[in-house]
Amino acid sequence: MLTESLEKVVTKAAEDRAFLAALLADADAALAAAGLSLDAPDRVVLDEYCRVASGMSPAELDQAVQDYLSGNREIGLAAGG
Amino acid sequence: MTAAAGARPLDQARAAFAHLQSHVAGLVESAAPPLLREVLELHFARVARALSAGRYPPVVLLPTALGEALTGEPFQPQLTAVGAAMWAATLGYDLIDDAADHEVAAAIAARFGAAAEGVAATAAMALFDAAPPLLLRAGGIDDATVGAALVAFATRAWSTIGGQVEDLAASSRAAGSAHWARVVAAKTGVARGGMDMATVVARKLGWLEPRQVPPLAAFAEALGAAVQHQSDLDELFGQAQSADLTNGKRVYAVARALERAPERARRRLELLLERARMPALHAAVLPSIRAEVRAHGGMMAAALLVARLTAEARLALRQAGLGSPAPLEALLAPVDVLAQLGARPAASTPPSPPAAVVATPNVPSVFGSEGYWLGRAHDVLAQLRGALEARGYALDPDLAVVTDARTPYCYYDHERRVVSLGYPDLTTASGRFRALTFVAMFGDPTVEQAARSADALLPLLTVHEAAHHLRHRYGVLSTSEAWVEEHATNILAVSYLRTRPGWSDEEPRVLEVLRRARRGLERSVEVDYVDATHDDLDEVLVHAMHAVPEHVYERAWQVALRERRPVVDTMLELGMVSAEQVAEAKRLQRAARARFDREYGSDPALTALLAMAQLAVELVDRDLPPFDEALHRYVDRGEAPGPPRSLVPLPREPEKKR
Repeated sequence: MLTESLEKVVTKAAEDRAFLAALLADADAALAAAGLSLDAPDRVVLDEYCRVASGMSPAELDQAVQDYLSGNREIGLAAGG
Repeated sequence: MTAAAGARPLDQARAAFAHLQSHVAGLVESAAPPLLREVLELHFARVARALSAGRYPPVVLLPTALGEALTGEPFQPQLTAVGAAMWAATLGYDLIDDAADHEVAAAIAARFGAAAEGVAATAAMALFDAAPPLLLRAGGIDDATVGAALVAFATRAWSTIGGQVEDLAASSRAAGSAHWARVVAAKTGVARGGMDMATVVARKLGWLEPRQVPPLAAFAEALGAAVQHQSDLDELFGQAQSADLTNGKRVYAVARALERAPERARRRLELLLERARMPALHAAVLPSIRAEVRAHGGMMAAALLVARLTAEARLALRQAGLGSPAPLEALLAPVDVLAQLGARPAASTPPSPPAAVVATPNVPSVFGSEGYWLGRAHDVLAQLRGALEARGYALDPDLAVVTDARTPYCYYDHERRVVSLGYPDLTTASGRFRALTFVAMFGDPTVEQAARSADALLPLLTVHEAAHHLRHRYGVLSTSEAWVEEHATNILAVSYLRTRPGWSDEEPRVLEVLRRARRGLERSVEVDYVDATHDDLDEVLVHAMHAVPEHVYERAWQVALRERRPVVDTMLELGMVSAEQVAEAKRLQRAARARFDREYGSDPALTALLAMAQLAVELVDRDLPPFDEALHRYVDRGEAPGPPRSLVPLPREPEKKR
């Protein structure tokens, strides 16, 4: 559901705690340092990601990211969708 | 009868009419030639039939009801006579206004031929002239008071006549909603005039203080306008024919829809309105006009106007400070939408969430919680269940709704009889995180706003999934043709929701959210065949092949409407497209549906995009069948949607009852 480039950022943040901390501190700088870039609509989503993530404990965030990543891999479409 | 016993408005209407009838009978007996008697008898017979059916114009009861409010006497003689005089004037206006009284106009035309209009106008004058002797005959009030009362009425009658002239002239020119609201305010001056006449008499009899008169006048004005707008709505949406549309009048709901519709939709509605003026086509285009007016918020805007006028009337009545205002208050009942819904919010009540227009009384207050989503869906299903049962269908009693934390999609699992909503619980960390997919999809800046967008889609998605269940339960679910299955359930869902109060105002927002979702999803996945899955070939030619520009297509549309021919044939004849292009459009359409069948369900973003795009197509389809017909075709008969359709909606053949 997220664009490929945004999903890269979110996945990296899930796997790399330092990148996550950098992202929450200064998203532009963190993206540039990691060699990642996002277009304007994706930046809106990332800003909201940072706002939501800032309000979570590390454990909550871990769980949330894992839930998101695993959940989106399966599509539970039964007949008829 | 005492005040405690009270009188029903219908009884008061009958009493005032009987008073008028007896008075006019006396006049006719002594003075009127046979032909005038014949006309008045035709007219009075129509009113008597309406009264037998419980129908009457509430404003004519203003004086009688005021009499009961002030004296406790349900049929206070002087004020009942004022009511009868007011009714005489109203019937006079009706005689002149074909639209208000086409049944009698037709009878007069049949009887008097070319002289009909003059006969009607002369008979109307006889009714206007019936008022003075009516008041004098009541007794108890002197000539000067009768004179003052008639002057008060005549002053307002000029406003009414001015409004009638505007009303009759409205057929010759287009006017906006603000203009129509002014016309209604003017032409319902008869309500104000009747109240003024009544308050002059009541003041003379010592029953009213001067300070009470202005609020009573404001009450009458608001009531009169509310009744007129409600009557316009009833005619547009509740009658087999609309005299207003035949006469080219754009009542408030129509004018608002024209103002709110996007350019292309507005031009289509204009064309349909022109068709509605032709007697042979009126019935055929009326359902489409209703759908367009609903879709562009015209019906809801008019309903809200009626609600506002009713609230103003109620407030004015309070300000009048009558000891027993109930008889006057009762006149508001037929137009008091809030009271009919059983809800009268206090002024301090905060506005409802914008998406929750479809009634959901059992929803917990925490927006975005799992309970909130389930409560909304349960209410939607309960309403659907009722609507289906009334039509002889049934959902499985065990059909359940759940939220599924694994996926942001909605689906129906026919093995478990479960409608699953991919709506995250915003009260949890994981849920808020998952709602970021809504942010990406809808393009809203925050999780909360994106959840509001998702909330707007919930009724449509829930009913769509329940429609899969219904088709499964009745043995017509298609597991091999995704396009057929999704299209049929979309039609069922949209046609059902269009029967729900409140949906017409919600639908434009739902369409806007679906379009945003399509744009958002197209950032993740590229699908080039969505527009070719449309079941109208001309739409494939225009939107998928770009074979003709929009404005050229619009011209073809106009010609097709005029000629009552399929638009593709028209485009071919006018040389706008070639036979090869039409053949290519058919090929693209077949290929697109085949790809839809193969790819639907294969990838999350792709599936969501196909689903959202198809739903949006359904919401703009102007000849979608009504819910009963959709049930018949897609549940009873298991038809595949998308048979060739003409662009001009044709009268539907009567169908066998279940």
